[in-house]
Amino acid sequence: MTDVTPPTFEQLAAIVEDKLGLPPRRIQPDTVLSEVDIDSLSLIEVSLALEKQYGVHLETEDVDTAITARDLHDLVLSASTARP
Amino acid sequence: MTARHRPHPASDAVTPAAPERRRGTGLLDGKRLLITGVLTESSIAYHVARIAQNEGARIVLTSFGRAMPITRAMAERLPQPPPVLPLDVTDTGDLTALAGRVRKELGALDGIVHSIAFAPQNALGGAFLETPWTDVATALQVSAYSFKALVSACLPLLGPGASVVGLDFDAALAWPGYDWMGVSKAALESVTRYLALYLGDRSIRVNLVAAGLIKTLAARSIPGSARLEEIWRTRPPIAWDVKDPVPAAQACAVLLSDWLPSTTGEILHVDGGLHAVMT
Repeated sequence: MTDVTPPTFEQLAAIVEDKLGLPPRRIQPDTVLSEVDIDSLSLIEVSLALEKQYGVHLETEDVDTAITARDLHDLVLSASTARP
Repeated sequence: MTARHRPHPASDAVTPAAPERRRGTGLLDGKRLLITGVLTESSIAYHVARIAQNEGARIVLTSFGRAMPITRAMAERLPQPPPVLPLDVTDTGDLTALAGRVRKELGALDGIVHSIAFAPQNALGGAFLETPWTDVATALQVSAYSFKALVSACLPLLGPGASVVGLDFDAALAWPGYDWMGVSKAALESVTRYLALYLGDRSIRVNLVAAGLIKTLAARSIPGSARLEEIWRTRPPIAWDVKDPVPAAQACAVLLSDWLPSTTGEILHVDGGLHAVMT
């Protein structure tokens, strides 16, 4: 098992804001992803950025857009220790 | 897993990769292929591309718009990163330019993989009775008519023995929430039969792989896809792994090969047998 250094919530939020063209700090822990019009392509873009910047492999097929940004961060934290 | 489900001994195993490892004597040695629809490593098309390269084919991918950088990133993960050509199947300019772009890369084509589908959100998820024609038209154009458009655009590059493969989801049944995409797949199945009819005299084969549910980008966009997942986890007579796109990709590779020379207008079900049984 290879651990990676996962992003903080703020770092994850910054990636999401960047990919969706949102202003800084628009993404808060309770923000529901679908409310900021995140779509499947955006999720893949976020996933690719996470992999490039933090070495975290997020399975986008497992991400439901009905979840909150906090939930997404939890998924990222899980993914950061789950990859062999 | 319900009581009705018979576990398969290999249900937890990744599909065997052995047939892909025969480098130098590959199933697709020397084939030149155009593959659309590579977006993530869970895409069936991604695994068609990977298997094709491992089996000796040279390939080009296509993509467009926001998906283009994503497809380029996926291309880098393939055994030999292939070129990614611009193609929006609803753009006449892209279609007109396609043959020239492919010719520059590969010279000609021995096969095409159509893995393209889209329906606006209100054409899916149970609003079937309210979906306006404009949204239905988009689904039909992108998901069914585009098969004909893609093949026509590439026709100058396709010679006798070429094989065209499209990705289908069994349209013989109405699936909950699949709605106008299901209608579009029914249209795709009919388009396939007509392509087989009109390309037969050129000895070009046209077939579909009707894959069982795979948790791909496309599947995630279907509201209520959890119900479909439950069906696929419990009903196929052979256990079906919704996270394994390899069986469908392998079927595409066989159809692209020379091993089914008299098969055209066919729908090959790769679904654990679900289409054939009532459980």
